[in-house]
Amino acid sequence: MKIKRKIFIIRKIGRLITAFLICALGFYGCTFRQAKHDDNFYQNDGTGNIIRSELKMDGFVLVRPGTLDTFDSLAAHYLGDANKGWVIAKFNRQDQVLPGKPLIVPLKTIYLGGLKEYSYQTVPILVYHHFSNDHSGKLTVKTENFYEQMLYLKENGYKVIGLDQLLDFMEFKTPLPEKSIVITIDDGWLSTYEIAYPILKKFGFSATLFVYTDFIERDHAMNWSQLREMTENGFDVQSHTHSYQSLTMIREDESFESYFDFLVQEIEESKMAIGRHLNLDCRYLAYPYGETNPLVVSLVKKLGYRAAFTINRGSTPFFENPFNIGRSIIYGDFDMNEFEKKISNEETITLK
Amino acid sequence: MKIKNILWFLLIIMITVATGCSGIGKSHRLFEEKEVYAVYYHYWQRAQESETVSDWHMAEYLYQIAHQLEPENKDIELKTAFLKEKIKTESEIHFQRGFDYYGNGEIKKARQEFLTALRINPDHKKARVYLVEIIQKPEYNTFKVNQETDLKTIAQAFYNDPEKSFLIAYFNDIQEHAAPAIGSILMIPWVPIQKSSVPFDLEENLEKARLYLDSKRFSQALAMTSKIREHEPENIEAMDIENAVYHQIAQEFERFGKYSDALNTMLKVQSDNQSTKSYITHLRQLVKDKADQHYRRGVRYFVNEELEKAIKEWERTLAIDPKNEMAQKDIGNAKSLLEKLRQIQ
Repeated sequence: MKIKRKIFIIRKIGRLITAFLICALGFYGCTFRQAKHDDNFYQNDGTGNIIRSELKMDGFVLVRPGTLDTFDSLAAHYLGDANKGWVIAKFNRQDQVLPGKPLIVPLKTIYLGGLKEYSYQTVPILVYHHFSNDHSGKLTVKTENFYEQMLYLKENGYKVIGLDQLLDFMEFKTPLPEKSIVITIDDGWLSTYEIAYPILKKFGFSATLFVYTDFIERDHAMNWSQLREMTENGFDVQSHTHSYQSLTMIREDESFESYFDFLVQEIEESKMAIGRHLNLDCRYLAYPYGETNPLVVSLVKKLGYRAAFTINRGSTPFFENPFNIGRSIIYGDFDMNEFEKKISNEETITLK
Repeated sequence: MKIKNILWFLLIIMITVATGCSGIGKSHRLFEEKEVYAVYYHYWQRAQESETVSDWHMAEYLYQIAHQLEPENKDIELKTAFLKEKIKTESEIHFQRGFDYYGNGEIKKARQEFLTALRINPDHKKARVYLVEIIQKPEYNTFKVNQETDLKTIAQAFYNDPEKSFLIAYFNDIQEHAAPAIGSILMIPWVPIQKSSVPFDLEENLEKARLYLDSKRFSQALAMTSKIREHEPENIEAMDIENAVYHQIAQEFERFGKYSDALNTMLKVQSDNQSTKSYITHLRQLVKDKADQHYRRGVRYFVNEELEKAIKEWERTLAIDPKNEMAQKDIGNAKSLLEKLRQIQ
């Protein structure tokens, strides 16, 4: 009986040892596999492409970019906005993503306002009106000059941004690339569609069109279907009022009530027409002739606009009054030197 | 019995394999230790760089990144705490300066200080609020309803025209004939003056501007000339008064040793006459001499190994001459030297 019991115990111990050995073998096998895997630490998809891997930390992500990653794709994935690829590039001081080389994606909002020790960032806003293939005039820019100007922007690394991005920058919510610029085209001339639109598309740029809605569908003006096509291709259409009359002039024979009714109609009607024809939320206004007064500003705010633009020259810092944002008209007789003067991105000042 | 044993072993194997291999999927195994260390070291170095150029906000963030990648480095915790305090203190100093300038009507300087506070600490909400307030004056008045009244009475008080009550009703979303609630604050929009009804009296305004100049009430004098030039942009007399104001302000600055302020003020003078030119040249020389004087003093301190005093002097040089490259470079060198000495201690 005792012997049987001893044999039973020995068997039990033997089983336990075997089980332990199997466990040890299994563990060793797996860690070995892992170690082998760790030799290059890259995960690949079997075709040699490196697959992105990440380590999420508090306030940032450590990322080993994959073969197909770009700064914009990483920004879209981690920051929810492909336009912020430049933030990752700048933070990592890299011009391009190097697959397999770890980088940091900052989750904290940085570079707000473009404030530096000796300068702050400004955003130039250009205004064009009319374009022509064969002549230039005060407000008419010749096709070849416009092409040359856009080429200059492209070759010198300018990023054309939209008004939503500009206003987010001004509200200190998001930063902008250092060489940001806004292109606006006023009125709604047909030449915008026929001349400017193909050139802008060629360079991958877009623009904001400030149209006065009474002009649309008339001779030499764009029609709603052309405007719709442009909005479907990333362009923005906003208000230049309904009939392009000065909002600050009260006629001598006019009562204050009728002046006020005129203001409401001019500012409200264009907003509604753009919404109706293009299904767009019209939130920006360019004052006709760039003229405004405090009553017009109050009304523009009351009627739901987010910002409004004059034609006062100068590049816009983040702390500019959003209802008095200046724009620089690009005249038809400008040479490249004059054009370059309008696109400054920095104001020098000591901030320490 | 045998089958039972085999099943038992199989179960153990499966559990073991599952447990042992699960580590592969864990994210921290996706980065090699030396690789993470390299990233940590890079960001630790950059944090130091940022600190050297007084970009403390960025430095703090970079240290936080470095610390999470290398939690063993306890110095970073101290560094981060120190920077947090520094950011808070320095941004508050600049905000207070801006606030004082704002109170004295020195808008340009106030803006510069608020911007500095924001550069140091982008979360400084008050600096942002004041910065916006300087630029964006409200385009309307407000009126607190303290007693029972109606919109016509309010319109009479503000516009001298009870018929404009509709405007107050429109902007405050209330009925024109309803009495506004006591305690409510109404927005009273600005209304343009119809030019035909109130003629602009040029002579009267010029006279006022001259009186303000004679009594050294410079800001009022400038406000008056600006009003005149809205009507007549090229009015020579208004321009002469403006130039005289700037000249006198510049002289005041010079008297108090604020040479760069004096120079900046004189640069606003729109005149090519010889006395203006010579005064500007004289001020430029004073600015240069003063900057040189601080720079040389800084060098003396540096040679005597009084680094903090040297940095202060070079900062004074930069305050006078922001583009002085030698002072910029020397500050950087002194700061990194100071940091190294602190580390050694």
